Amino acid sequence: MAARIVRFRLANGMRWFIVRRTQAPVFSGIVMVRAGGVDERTGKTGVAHMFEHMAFKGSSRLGTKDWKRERKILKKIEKLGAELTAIENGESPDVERTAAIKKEMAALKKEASRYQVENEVWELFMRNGGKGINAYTSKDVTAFFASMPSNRLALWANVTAEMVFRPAFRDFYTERSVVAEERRTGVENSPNGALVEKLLSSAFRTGPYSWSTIGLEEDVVGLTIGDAREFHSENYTPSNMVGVIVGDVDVARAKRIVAGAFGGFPNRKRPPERKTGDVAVGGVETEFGFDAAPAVAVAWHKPTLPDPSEYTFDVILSLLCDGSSSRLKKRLVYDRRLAKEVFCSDAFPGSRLENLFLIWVEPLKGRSPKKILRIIDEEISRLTKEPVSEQDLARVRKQVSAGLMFALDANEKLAEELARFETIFGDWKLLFDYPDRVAKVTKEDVMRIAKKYLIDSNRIVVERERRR
Amino acid sequence: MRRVFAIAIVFAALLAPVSLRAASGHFDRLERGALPQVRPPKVRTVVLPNGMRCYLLADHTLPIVEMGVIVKAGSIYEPAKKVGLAALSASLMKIGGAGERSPEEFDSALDDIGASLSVSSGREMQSANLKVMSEDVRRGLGLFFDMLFKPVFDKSRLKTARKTLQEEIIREDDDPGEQASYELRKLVYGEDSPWARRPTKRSIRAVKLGDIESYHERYYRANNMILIAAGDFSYAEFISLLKEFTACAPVGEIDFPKVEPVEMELKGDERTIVRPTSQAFIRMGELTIKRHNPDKYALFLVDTILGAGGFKSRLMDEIRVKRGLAYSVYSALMPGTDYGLFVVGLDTSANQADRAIELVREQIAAMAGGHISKEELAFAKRSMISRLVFLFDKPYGVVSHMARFHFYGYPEDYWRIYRDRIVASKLSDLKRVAKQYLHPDKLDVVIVGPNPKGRARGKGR
Repeated sequence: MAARIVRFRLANGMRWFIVRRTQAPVFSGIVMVRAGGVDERTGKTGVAHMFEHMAFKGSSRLGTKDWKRERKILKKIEKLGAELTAIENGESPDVERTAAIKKEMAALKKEASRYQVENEVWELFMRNGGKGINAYTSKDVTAFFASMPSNRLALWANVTAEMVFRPAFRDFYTERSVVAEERRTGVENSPNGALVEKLLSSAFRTGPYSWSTIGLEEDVVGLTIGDAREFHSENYTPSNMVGVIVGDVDVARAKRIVAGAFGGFPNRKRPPERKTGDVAVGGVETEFGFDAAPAVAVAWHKPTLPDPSEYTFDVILSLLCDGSSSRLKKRLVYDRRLAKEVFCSDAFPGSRLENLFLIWVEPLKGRSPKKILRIIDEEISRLTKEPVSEQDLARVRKQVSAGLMFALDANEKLAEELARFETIFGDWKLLFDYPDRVAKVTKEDVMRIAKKYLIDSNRIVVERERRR
Repeated sequence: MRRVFAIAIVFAALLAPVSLRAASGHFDRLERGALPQVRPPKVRTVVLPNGMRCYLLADHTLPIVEMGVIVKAGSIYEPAKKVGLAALSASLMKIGGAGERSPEEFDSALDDIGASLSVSSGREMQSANLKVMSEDVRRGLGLFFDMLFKPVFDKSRLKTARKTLQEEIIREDDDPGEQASYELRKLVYGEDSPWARRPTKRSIRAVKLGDIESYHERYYRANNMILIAAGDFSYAEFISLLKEFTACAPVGEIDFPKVEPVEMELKGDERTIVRPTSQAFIRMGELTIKRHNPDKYALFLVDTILGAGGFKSRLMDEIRVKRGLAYSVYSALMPGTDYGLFVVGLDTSANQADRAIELVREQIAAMAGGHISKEELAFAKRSMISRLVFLFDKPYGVVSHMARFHFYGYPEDYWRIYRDRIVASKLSDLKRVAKQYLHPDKLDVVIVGPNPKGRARGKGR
């Protein structure tokens, strides 16, 4: 597989990968930007995701009938929107001025719409057989992707380039309301969204891991076009982006298309990235109420790649949580019948900064979280005291190799994995080396890492209790 | 780092489309050239001596094999007092041990080869799926067929299955959106309808080990299953493995219990479930056509234009794009074996609920009143047809679609019929079916959210 990957770099620094797979006359394409929640600043949380929404609103060439005229109106909207946002989020809102601005903005919106082609990005993709057209924002990255018939590669590349390089910031304030609704559904009224938010704010006192990717409520309602524009111009620069195409495409032609679509945008220098700045807090136990069945999150602070302990954490994760015979699933779900489900992650909430090893348990009704925590403690302590058997290590290796293969079986999955490893770690090869790196982990490594990191002073426990 | 916990925020949307118009500037030239024809790869169809129909597709791209079965069984066949029997049977089959192996031994054997096994239980179909490295295909098949034909149904694991199912129901109800969807189904079909009912603590407790054993014996027969497999194997070897492992599979006619037919009745009922959420979770719906109704294709086009087509569908455009009232708003047409369900869903700040419901009704009324344009039809057709190529872009998808077509009584190249009927649909057909099947004033409505009295003055932007 690795040998079939064609790599190249455009003159502006954007990295590209093409993998030819000819099972069907289609391809999947992704552009991933090293810009996510970790690149936000205090007070402007949620701006990475807000920009992602803007990308679908078109560019100076897509979504408009007359950019020169439209632009003048958009500028007025930008100015008024900033003023309105400042008033609404200020100490004592000026009711009269607010009403006047709202009225004026509504009129401008109507005027602008005369020059706009609503949803043109979507229309172009859909009219040409696009499937799975979407984007996501995580702590680490923002990604834009779609699958299309093979002979629409040029269309995909050119439209995607418009989205990421030439955004017009249309309908920003309407879209901000949409995002506010998204937040209500995903965090405010969602038991799991609420637990994620509580866990993050408990584990990190400051810094980008202390808030969830969608942003804090008070920040999201205060975002302006200027904020989104600034985030975009700082982060969406070619050398900070990776593109991948997997499918039935001619490689030479695909290279020309990509160069034509993405090559003309100049690279800019990016401000230095945040390396740390999070105040990690350990030894925390807290709980909160929600109108939902309980859940328990247990997490420990840990380093992230390139620190080699990552591979040991992968082994620990598999031992505890991979498959029905894994230690925690077996004990909590089957032997003791305490929990419905156990999930684990060793890269929570992201991979670019030092992160968390997370165990997430959904207890059965009436079962005590204390008992569950005791069993988790026992299993952690077992890791520190009892060497892992050769048989257990062999099983983990098998699970990791198989898991890698299963993760690459669709064009869009392979495209995303390649993009993820290159964007986050600057090393696409790591994707394929992964099983070998994990295979090198020894039973001594497991004991040493467990003793070093999986300790109480490093631990956060958050319990969600049912409360009406 | 392998596992990324699901916390990425996805932009949104289902599919998407509308209005056939050349793109601005230089983009229209990029749309030239006919879209590729749909050409499904050649699939090997085999019917084993025991009656098991198999769809196989060798593909050596990766050293893995994915396989599965679909079984005609499910919750519509359960006795009313034992709702949950089908789901419990499926889950106990997976976790209760198989062949010579105890549950623990079975779990370990699967994990030793890094296999991924899942089972699922629907209203009229159950399925099992296995992914395994091709070097372990023999061991994988052994475990898979042991589970299907020689399940142990360990008694202590039945307790686990019961508790887990009960917990699933509790947690589904905790999610206001899911709760609203289930409640709408109940309102449309009736609380006790096989197409709407859900397991309760009592009905789960009523399911005994003997019920599960006889359920399994009744439905898990080779001739009541379709097997699908794709991946890194040779046909001859794989087929001989299938023969070997299914040699002992039970065979015989199945006596399906009679399922009470759905009575076609439109009510226009409304139900509010008070919860202290900041949003109202709204689901509106009515009974709709059966699967083999020839009006289905025109009605799918209507649904696409109305709300199943993503961003440019009317509901999305009016409620999200133009007004910012909701993140998610959609319509979905689900024709059924019996009368199916047509549903519109949206979540919006509580104080906007009444307005949003009114907007939905207006949009449905406009469709029913025949306000559909030629451009909308052309765009919907094109987006639906041009996406068909993706039915067959993954080897396992190819066999999986074919098996499902067969299961629902279509020919195996049903996609051609679908394509031709969509293409042949005329504007007059859409207007006729929209008028006949959409009833804006007779929709049942479920709202999960704060008290309606507080709704108008509730907080929200």
